Amino acid sequence: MNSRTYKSHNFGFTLIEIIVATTIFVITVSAILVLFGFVLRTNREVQINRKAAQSIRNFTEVLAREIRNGKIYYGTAGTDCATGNYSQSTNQTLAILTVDGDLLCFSLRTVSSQGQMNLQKITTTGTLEEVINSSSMYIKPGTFRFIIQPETDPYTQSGGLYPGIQPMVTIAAEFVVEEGNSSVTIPYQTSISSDVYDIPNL
Amino acid sequence: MKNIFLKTKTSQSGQTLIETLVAAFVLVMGISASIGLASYSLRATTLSTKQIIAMGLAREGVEAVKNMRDTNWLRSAMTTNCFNYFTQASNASCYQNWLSGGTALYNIAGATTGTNYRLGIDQAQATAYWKLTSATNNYGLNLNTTNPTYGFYIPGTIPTLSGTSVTASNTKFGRRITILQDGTFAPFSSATYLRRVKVSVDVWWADGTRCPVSDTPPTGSKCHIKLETYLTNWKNYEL
Repeated sequence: MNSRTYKSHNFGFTLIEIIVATTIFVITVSAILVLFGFVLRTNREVQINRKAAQSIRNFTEVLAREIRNGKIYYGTAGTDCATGNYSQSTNQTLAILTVDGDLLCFSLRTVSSQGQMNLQKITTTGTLEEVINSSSMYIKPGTFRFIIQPETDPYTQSGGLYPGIQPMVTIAAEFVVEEGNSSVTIPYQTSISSDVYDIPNL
Repeated sequence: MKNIFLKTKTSQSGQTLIETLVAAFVLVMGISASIGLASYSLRATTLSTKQIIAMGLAREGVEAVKNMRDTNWLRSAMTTNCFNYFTQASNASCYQNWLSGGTALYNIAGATTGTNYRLGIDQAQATAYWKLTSATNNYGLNLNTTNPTYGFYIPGTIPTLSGTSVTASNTKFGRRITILQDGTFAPFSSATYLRRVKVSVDVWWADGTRCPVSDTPPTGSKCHIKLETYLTNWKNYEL
């Protein structure tokens, strides 16, 4: 009798209840795990985009400062920047004569064994500076262009083909930004007009 | 015995249907809210990539028009018949063709009500690379990353300058430049050559169902950025 009374108070879970509870638990946990993975991926992409936005802004501003403060140089400036480069349809160099009289040469530089490229700035004294100061952002070398209009010197009235045209630089580049195993490619294009008004009037 | 059996039966309290429904509803609401939040943040990231590109293109539009004004200054002769605000006489030095263009110059005059332009590339004319074409449609940009001789984002086909509409098959980016002659207050209202122009550049893009493909800029700020600047004829004012 005693044992029977004790037994009747022994409320446990039935097998069905345990199976149902486990199923619900597994479904909920797997849903949360999927969501967590999704949030992680989103977070990585947010980081990539923030990095891309910062790097591209930096890249554009550095070039814009040099182009506006200096003067586009049409002669030879160092080994990479040669006279007549701007006439090529695949031009990847830009020479700037600064107000201090320095010559700057912007050109692509290989930064890794995988052929990844960055933009570099070389002065006549040989100082080298990377324009993109980021280890995880690269330029696809085949897509990079400096399109300079006019192609030949507008600063001379005699000898120049296109005198009096305010120079303008169009920059086209595919930027690759990496973060972990993810990467994003951004085809970017913008133009910067010179601010120098000492071109002789016609 | 019967009484005891009945008593045990009534003390068996489970969840009612209402309670179960409420619990399920709360669970579904919670999960769908978090999924919605996650998908929203994913969409926001793709949006920021488009915004980076759009900002570059809009900046290019502003720079191109500024460059045209500069070229008009540098390639035209100075005259001495411009309006002098202090003496109220037309005897000031200026470049009177800074807006209207002429031989090998650009026409960036616009209109007092605003004129819409497409910014094209004129391959045939070496002295004028950029070209503004007055247009009411076909503001689309094609993408060419394999041979970017004229840049990545090309308006239409070079050298026809005919433009292309914003479609689902090209970049889905559109760019429209509006030039408005603003003479609403002095000194810009006083004389022909003393106007100022307001340059507005709209860049917009299509993005799924949120921003449908359109050849005209959307009214809001969704998938759309707008840059504005004022250009004046400030060079070489003297008596």
